[in-house]
Amino acid sequence: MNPLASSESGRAVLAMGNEALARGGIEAGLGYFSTYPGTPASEVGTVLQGLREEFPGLYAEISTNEHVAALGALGASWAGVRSMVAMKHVGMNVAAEPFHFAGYTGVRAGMVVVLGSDPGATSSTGEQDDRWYSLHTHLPVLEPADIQEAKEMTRQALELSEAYDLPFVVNAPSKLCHNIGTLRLGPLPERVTYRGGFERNPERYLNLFDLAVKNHGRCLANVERLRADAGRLGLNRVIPGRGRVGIVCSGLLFAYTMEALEILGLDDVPVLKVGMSYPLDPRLVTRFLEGLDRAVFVEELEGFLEFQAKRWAYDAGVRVPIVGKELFPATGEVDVDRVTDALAEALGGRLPHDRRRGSEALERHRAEMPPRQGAFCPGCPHRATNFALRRAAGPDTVFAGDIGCYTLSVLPPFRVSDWVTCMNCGAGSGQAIAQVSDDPVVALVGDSTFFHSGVPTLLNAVQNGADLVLLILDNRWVAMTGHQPSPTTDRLVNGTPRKAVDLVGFVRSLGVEWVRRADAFRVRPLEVLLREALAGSGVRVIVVEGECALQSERRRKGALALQEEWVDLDPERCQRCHRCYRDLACPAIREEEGAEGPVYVIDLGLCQRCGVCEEICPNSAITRTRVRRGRAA
Amino acid sequence: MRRYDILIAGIGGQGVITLGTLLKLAAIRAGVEVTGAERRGGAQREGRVTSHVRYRTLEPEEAENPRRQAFSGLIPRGGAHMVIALEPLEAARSLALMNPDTVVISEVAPRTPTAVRLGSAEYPPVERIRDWIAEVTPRGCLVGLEAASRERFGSLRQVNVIALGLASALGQLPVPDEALLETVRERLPGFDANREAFVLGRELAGTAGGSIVSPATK
Repeated sequence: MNPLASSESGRAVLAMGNEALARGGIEAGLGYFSTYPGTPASEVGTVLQGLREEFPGLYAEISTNEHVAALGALGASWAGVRSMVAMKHVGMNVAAEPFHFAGYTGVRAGMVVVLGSDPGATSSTGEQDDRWYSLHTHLPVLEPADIQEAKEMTRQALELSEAYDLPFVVNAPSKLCHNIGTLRLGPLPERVTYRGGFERNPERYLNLFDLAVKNHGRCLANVERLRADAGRLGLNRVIPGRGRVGIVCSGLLFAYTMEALEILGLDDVPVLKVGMSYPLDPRLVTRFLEGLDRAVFVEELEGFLEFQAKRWAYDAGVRVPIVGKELFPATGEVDVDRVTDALAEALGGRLPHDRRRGSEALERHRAEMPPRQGAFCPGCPHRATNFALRRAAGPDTVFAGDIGCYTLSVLPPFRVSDWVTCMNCGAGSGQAIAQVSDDPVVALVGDSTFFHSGVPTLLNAVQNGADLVLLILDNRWVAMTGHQPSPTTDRLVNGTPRKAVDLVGFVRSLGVEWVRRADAFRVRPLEVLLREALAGSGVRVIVVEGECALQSERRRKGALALQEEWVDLDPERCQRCHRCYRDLACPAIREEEGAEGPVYVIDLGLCQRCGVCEEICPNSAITRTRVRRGRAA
Repeated sequence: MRRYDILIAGIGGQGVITLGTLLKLAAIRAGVEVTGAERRGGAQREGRVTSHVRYRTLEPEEAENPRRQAFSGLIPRGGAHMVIALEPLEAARSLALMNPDTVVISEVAPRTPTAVRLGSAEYPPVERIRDWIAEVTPRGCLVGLEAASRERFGSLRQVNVIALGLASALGQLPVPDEALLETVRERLPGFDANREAFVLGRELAGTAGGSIVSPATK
């Protein structure tokens, strides 16, 4: 049994931050869950979908996009079922419209929004701080500092949501989502409402004219009620100290601050730990500040707490000097080391020299360490497609890439993506470039991104007669975020068939006359097809099919089937033209020192037998051999 | 408070996350508090992946101290008691976490980054990487984990468990070997080979003090 389903209260289990968030929901009697997967919050959905086995009443879906997911969670709440919706920070932009009304209508059963944020943009195209949204959506924000709090606060958020008639946000940065450690379980609820019923409430749900204005007022009143009660909810906490300089912080940065103070030997600094950063409790903040000579706000990004606290301090006539953004840059992730350095500067104290020896050595030698960029996996269909595209495209081709594993197309050796911003950014802006220029535009979009937000753009391109080549890279999964099923998944890893969208038929139904289907791994025919597409006009769509190699590998249950097939690179025939090693850049092809200099070899442990290197080798140096069982011996 | 912090570093697909999970599950089994952040490379390969494994035991008088409650997942600079690197360049990139007492266990065989493959950067000789580590700690060793696994077991499947054996021999892990082995038995297929791999790791540790244990294979 999944330990996260355990009813053993007090039991310590190993859990990821995302799993703790999910368990918090379970402990609060969650009945409905929706998400669009996005790193760092993807596993919240993976876990809750898995827990349907132990909690058969639980509804958990991977939605088409965040907008749909948010409206779904709100609907479930109106039907009296406690709901959770999870997404990455930029998903909030897609879901922003429903969230701006959720405070107006309020909730019936509790609703929590789990937002996985990404300071440092380690797996995102931006590092926006979604807490600022709450200044206009008015959704309260809780900020857990570690795995345990991730669970407690999610549970509490669902309860408070009901009490204050507002959906609550739990903000979880990537370093918390992907933190794995001890989690102590709490009790499971005795009763959970999995089936509810909608109750008509026109006063609240029909936001028209004066009713919208009235509901806006009620939303603000709910926020003020929560603000007034903040002192007794136990979400914010003062850690007393006799020092005259105090620290204000929240979330993960609280954990970093406490460790930094320990490293610096500063055990007397008062710290205000903010657990609810919107609405901020003005009494607590101003009281904490007025006892100090100086306050340090330990915050990353643009400084949400400092911005609010200065406003309340002004109103209360508190004039304590505040430093925050002077010490911490508004961009990039703040980790325990940056906190330690900043606090050493602001409070005095020094990092022991032994602790600096390593970082000094790194600085001395860093320049000699070649960077390591991500690459497509061995056997990835995107590598094959990129190779064909690179050869078919001309020097003036504009490459409109998008969000997914194929975002790696921006990197050498392929470089077939000229911009990356948001979901659907490729075809979205590409079609306009085609409208106002003679540049040939090739847009790439994955199957999941296409259904997330690409469909209206394709329809737009058709309706307005854009000259656009669109490659739908159908790898059958939402691969980058951990292989959630996509609308084109026709078979699960265990072989269970699944009803999939007929992508070619769907595209045709939008009015696209030139639609072709291609096999990603047959790069020569694909290259020919791409040349034909590039020579044409109007909207041309190629559905490039090839399943994600990791999923095919899982279905084969590892390497067993691969042992019946061999791929050999004959060093005698190889002319070292580099086509396989550099232009295709498959990680399974390596360079080794041979008797007469360097040679290329195929690492059969990594090779997925996709056959692309064999097909592209101009010297027939690569051969595939099938060995039939029984004859091999 | 007693801490023991281990950084595991490598590249996507090498099993960094799995190794971290084994070390953490062993802590749950042994009743030791554990946490640690992972840096995942996305689903793709070749990027740097790390897993922080942080063990701690609070002294009884600290149990109610609000300054000791939060447990951050990141090992601070110079804070690692041990670094396990499944690739030598990734050991070098982890220098900042090392201090003069840090035990470093690193694979000796390089994995070529794309930039080197494309000819736009050079891979430093492993002897240089060994020297960089020695500038910080005398307790570093570069070991042919992959070579040892290939030689004894005919594949790379035992690399991580060999590394665990080395870690258990060279460090003062707060989790006992039994907890590690039970976790391995529960989580990985082929326990007989893994038990042998663990012992092999312990044996390699005997010859590993501060040197390159097996010839660098490219």
